[in-house]
Amino acid sequence: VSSLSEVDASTLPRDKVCIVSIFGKSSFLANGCKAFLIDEALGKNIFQGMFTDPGEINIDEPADIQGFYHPESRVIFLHLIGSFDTKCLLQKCHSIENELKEKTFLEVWSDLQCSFSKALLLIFHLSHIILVAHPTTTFDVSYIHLFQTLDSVRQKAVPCLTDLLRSFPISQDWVQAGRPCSPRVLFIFQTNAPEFQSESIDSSDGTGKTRSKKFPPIKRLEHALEDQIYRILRKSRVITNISGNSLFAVPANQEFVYVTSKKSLIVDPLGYLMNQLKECCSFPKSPGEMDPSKSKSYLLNRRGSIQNQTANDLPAFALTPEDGASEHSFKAFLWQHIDLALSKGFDDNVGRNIVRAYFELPTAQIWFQIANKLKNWFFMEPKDSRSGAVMSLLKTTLDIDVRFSEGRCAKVLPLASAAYQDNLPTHYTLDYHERKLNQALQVFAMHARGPAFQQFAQQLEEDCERLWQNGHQMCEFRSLTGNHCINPLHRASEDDEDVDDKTLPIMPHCSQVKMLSACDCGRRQASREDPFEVKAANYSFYSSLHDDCCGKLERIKFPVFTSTTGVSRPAQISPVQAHQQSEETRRKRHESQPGRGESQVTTTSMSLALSFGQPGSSDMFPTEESAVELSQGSEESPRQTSDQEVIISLRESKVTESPEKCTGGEKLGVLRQPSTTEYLPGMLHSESPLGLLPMFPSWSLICLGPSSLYSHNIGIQEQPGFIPGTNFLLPWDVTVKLEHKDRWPTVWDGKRPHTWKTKKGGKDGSQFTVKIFIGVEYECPRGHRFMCSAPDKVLRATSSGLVKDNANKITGNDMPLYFPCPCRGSKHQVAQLIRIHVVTPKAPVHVTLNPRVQAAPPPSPVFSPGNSEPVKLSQSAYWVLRLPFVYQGDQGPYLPPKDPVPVEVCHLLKGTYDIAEQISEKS
Amino acid sequence: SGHITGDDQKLSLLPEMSTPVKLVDGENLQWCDNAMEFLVDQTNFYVVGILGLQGSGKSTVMSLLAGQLGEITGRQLFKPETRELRERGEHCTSGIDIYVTSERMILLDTQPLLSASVMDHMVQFEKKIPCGTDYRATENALQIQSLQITAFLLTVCHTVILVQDWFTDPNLLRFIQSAEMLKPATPTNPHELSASIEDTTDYYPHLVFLQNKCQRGDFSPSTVCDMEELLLNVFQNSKLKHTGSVWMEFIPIKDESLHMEVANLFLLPEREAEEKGVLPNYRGHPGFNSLGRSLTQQLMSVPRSTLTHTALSEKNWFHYAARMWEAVKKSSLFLEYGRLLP
Repeated sequence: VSSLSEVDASTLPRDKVCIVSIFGKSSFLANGCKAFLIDEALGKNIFQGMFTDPGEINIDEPADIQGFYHPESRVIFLHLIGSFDTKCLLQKCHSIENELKEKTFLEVWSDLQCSFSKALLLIFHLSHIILVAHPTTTFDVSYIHLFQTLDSVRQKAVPCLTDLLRSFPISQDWVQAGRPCSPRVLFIFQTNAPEFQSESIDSSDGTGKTRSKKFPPIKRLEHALEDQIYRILRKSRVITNISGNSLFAVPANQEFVYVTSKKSLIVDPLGYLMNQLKECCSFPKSPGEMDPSKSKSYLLNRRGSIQNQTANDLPAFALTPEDGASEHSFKAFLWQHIDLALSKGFDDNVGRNIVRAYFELPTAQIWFQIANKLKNWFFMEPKDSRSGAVMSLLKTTLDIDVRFSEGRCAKVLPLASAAYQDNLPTHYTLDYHERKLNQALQVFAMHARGPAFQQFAQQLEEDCERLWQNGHQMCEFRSLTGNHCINPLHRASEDDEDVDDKTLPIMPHCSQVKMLSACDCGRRQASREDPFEVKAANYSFYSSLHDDCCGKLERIKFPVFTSTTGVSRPAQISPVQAHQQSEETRRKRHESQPGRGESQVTTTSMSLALSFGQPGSSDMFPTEESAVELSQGSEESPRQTSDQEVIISLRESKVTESPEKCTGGEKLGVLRQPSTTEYLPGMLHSESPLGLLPMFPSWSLICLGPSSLYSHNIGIQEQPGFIPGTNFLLPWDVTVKLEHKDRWPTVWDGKRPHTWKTKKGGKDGSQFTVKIFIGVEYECPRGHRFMCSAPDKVLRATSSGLVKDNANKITGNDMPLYFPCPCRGSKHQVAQLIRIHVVTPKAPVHVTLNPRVQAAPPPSPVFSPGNSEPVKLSQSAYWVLRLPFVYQGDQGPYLPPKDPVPVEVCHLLKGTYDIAEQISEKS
Repeated sequence: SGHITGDDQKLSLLPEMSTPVKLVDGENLQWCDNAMEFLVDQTNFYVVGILGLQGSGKSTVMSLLAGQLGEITGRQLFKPETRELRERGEHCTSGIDIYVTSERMILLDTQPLLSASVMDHMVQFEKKIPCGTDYRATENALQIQSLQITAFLLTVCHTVILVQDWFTDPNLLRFIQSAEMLKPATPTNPHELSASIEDTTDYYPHLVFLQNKCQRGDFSPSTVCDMEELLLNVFQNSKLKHTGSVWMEFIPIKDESLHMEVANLFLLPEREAEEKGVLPNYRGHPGFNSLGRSLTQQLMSVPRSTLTHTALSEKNWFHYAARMWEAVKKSSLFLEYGRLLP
């Protein structure tokens, strides 16, 4: 097609010419060649080239039309090669491989068919005779729809074509119709069936009875096909009485079907040559044995090739010239139509029509000019809206599958959308949205079909997403206990950084989860909202109960930020900074350890040495190691005795100057000089930047009253929520060995209460035993409370109310932060270590507390109340340490486990409890 | 093993089918219950259907699979076109024929797709168009009818053979994919509303491309490779299982591990006449009989996935197929599609 413009029309003779075109489907082996019959008729290798290889098919062009002008017979032959030719389709598929990966074949095929149809339209507007080649002997009914489509597009295109043709020296009929005539279409079929092979032999069936039929089988087939095709084309209104109104016409009184039976097209050169070789090597048969048909075709073959070699320089293996004597000849079949066209022209109107059909033969010169013009119009991008409409009509009429799919999907889309919107709450979570969307997609997948599926499924997804985001989104902000806020998407405050949309209403987060918690001291329970802020979780709730309960009790305060200027702002802690800080802190801590140890010693004037039943301790807290070293360094500390007492030696420190307390304080102050303008935004932990204190304490330490509040026979009282049998403290017997006898106040001599006894060995009163009661209390969100007697065991009193355990396992081990609640509920709850009860003895020692909590696996920080040294509890009193309700690091809260299973890594670290000597105020 | 002998006994008691019977009659495309008496309540069966244009050799291939090409008796199991029909350009099989082999293979032979002869019959005898008056034009009725038969086969067969006698009609390849698009959804059990889309996947059969009446040139490895490539490209986005189950055993494949990515393409030559002369012809293939055996064996060993979400017995299958045939005929999808035809 592209080379059409290169033909120099002026050099052509001025003879009137007839145009014969051929198109159709061809098999892979035919190499896209359907025009072999024309080659055969002309006795020249024109279209098929050597061994049917048509050479490179130009696949970049929408269609490839090869042309040949045969001046002797005044015929221009056109051969259309396109996607109907398997060879061409293969190459096309190859070149659009990537497109085929994304698009379905249905879409690709409609594109291919569209460009092929344009080429067909061009041919139908330029030809007098059109041959439709079939590779088999059956009429291809898929052409009906194609012809109908071409006709409707043709009719629409007539005005455009009339405009294009006006300037040419052709008849008004041609200009008005857009074509020289209503072309004649002839159908060509191929067969390999043996009974059609040799038309010269009179057919006889198996019984030997010669059929008295007028025509050979191939003729009968041709006539049957002619009738069939005529009826079908009439019925489908492809052909009508007035040929000028139809896309084409078939002649009423001439044959228009030709079946070729000869294997004249050599599609398999190798096989052909091998057969030739075989025949050469065969013994010549005697004439009597000869199979007449076979020998004839063989001779014909040879004669043909010799003839053609002389006639044409090309070796013409592919040619078997027509036997002129044969009645059944393609040349005769075709030339009767060509001759008519060149003489009278066609008039294929039927019925009583007065109108004569228009018919015109152009000169080759004019024809080339017109062909060029029409070609441009059909294949160029449409310039005006009128031609654009014609092309889009072609595309839509052919695009049945895609149109069906789009229509179908568009119809199903609202159904699927409705499935999404069915029973939709006013606002809902992402998870719920995804589940509903999945349901909707399922409905869609059930009913939607075809190539448009993906596109519409995506639209459904977008629609649902938009609907959700358009006022149906739930806030889903996670509370500090891991529940999400159930309010519609909102801002928590004016300057909420998490939400971009500033038009959203401001309201507090709410998960609507209610919990039951006891107050600081544990004597009063109250329901609480699921906290979203640390302050509410760890401070506000508890202080709100102060008025009703424990507000007036003695309390040891943990360090908090105090503003001196009245201006306070949160310190900015970026994660990177925090990390650097933590590195720095760690290094500093290591550096300062000796100093800290010293300061500890100097403050208490005594160093502590611990010796446990199982030596060795958690290495999570570096300072612990120094304590262990200290204890192991003391040779005198006795091992655990048979009655499972824990012996703690109190040894006088090397530094005896008592007023050094203040020095220690200064030293601490150097280490952690609290800022008075900036406060710590979160909770205090081992990675917190130095010098910052929180606005509020997350911990509380309260003295419930005298030690007599607790009776080991009855257990804890006036503490609601305890699971029966778990409300006991555990005795912890500690042998205290006083190493600095001189400093021991004599006032205690002879007045020892029963809680501490002199050991046999220590006649001088330098060694005695104290009994401390300790309880590690867990609380679940439903307010159930219980004590643990070991890291893996809930404390249980015997049926008679006796407690056999002692506190050694809870003082000597890390205690889990989370423990499955033994309460019976539909869903098992996770209880959290919340309180430590200590009943101190009436002895000249202080029980000290130094709680540190590892709330998540390392490297997460260790939380502590912020005390610089172990907190000393007063003697003979009932103390309650309340731990934080939530633990929040710089990157967010450390959530409790979802399932009630013990978590190995979350612990209250051992080393919480200790004894320190009482220091007389007087000294 | 006791169980197997029990089954064997049961099977041996079955009435042998002497000839195929109608499953769908050609006149009005009505379901026929004739085959029911040949089916039993066992689940180990295999349904093979065949599709193709007129004269491509559907009935012959089906007879080959049943092992009854009639070499000795001269009578083929599924009637092929007679010489007279061929001369008149007419088709032979109309509607759908069914035959159950002793190996419990259920063979479905169909009338030709998009056949001019079928359409001509509609035109000539002014037959009431089977699909009702929904389709104004005969050519549209013909196309819808062909699509319905194809969609039906794609729903109730384990394996569908697409037979062609030349390579290849792109319209036919497109047509199969149109039918794939129109085939009814596999019914889901309403009691189990599955959570994910994957659970409700539709059923898709194996699709085997059988090139019948092949010439020597078709068997050259490069030609077979080109055919494979074209089919893979065209069916790339189709869900029909078109790869990995049937291949030309004697044609070397470059990489053995690529078997799974090879289209189910099989080439059958023309049935050769007695070889005459001293020197044998070079055919380029092992011969019709050998290839026929290979094809039968490969088809028999194609993995059989369940057609529905529950396993069916032969009788259940028959009822299911009847339901699907009605579903296909009444499906609004075909009506919608038909309205778009020119």
